[in-house]
Formats: sequence, C-alpha cells, structure tokens
Amino acid sequence: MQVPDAIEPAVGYRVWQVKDNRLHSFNHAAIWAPYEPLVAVCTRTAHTDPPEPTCTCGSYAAATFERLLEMGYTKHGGLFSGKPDDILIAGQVNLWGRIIPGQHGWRAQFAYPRKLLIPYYHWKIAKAISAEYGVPYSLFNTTRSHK
Amino acid sequence: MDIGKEQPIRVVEPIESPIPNKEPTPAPEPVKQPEKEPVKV
Repeated sequence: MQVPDAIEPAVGYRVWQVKDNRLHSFNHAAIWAPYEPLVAVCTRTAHTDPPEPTCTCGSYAAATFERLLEMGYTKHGGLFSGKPDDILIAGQVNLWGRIIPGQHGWRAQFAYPRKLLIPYYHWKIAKAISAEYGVPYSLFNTTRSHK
Repeated sequence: MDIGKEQPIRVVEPIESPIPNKEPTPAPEPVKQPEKEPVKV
C-alpha cells in the first residue's frame, strides 16, 4: 500500500473552449465529460499511468490565474482570443492521482473543473455550462488586471 | 503549456471526491386520475 502525499486535490488553472455546452481542451482534442474525471492519456509513448516524469503526458494546469494569462492566452488580439466564433473560458481545476508539480503549474493524472471563470461578454452561457458540470462560476472583466 | 522545472511525482488521494454529486432527478409527480362524476339518480 502506498501512502498518499496529500489528501486534498491540487488546484490549477486552465482554459477551455465551449462547444455545444461541453468543455473542450484548448490545445488537444479532448472533451471533458460532466461528472467524470478527465483521465490523462499518453499519446507519445503510451505510458499506462500518466503523467510520466520522463515524458510530457498528463493533464496540464497553471499554478495561478496570473500565470495562466502569462502563458500566451493573451496573444493575438486580446484575452482568450481564438477564432471569431470561439467561446473560450478559464477556470480552476481539481487535480489528483499522480501529479507532477512544476515551477509554474502541474501535470496530473485526473482532473475535473472546480470553478468556471467566464469572461463577462460570454455571460449568456454561464448558467448553462455551470449547471452542466455541477460547479460554480464567476464572471470577470477581461479589461482589468487580475493580479 | 510549459510548467517549468518539475519536481518529483506525488500521489494525491482526496478523502472527498473532487467531482460534485449529481443532484438527484426529482421523481415525477403521480398522475392524478380524473374524479368520477357522481352518478345522478
């Protein structure tokens, strides 16, 4: 029996794309199912229990909201900008299982949204997406500093 | 996403599930049978 290093999930920050009332990973083709953990899968060398220290596999999250914004999501014309019709939101995620802490974030085996942080101009989707995943949400003003 | 210099792997086993409980679907209300009109004698 392995004694766990922690009994509370780690909390990170990430960005999702919203399509058909579902959260999609922004950089990978992964759909986050409501009420189910996102289980990391290794697509490079098929490690059985991602994240593997010698690989890049795992579910990623930034350590803080500010760090998330500094990771490139503010490029190309504004906060969370993607294609014109893309709906991009941020949020806190619970991370657990095998996790690798980094200087600026985490790689984890299991993840589930903890709280959705929705730009105010997407207020119309807030209630529905929050109810879909059973987690709270906050609207935030993208033109203000969040430090 | 670059998370910088990594530390050794850790194992996190939350005591409580990090996934919210799904609220139970309310049971459907029983269908009311229409009251029979009293038989007029």
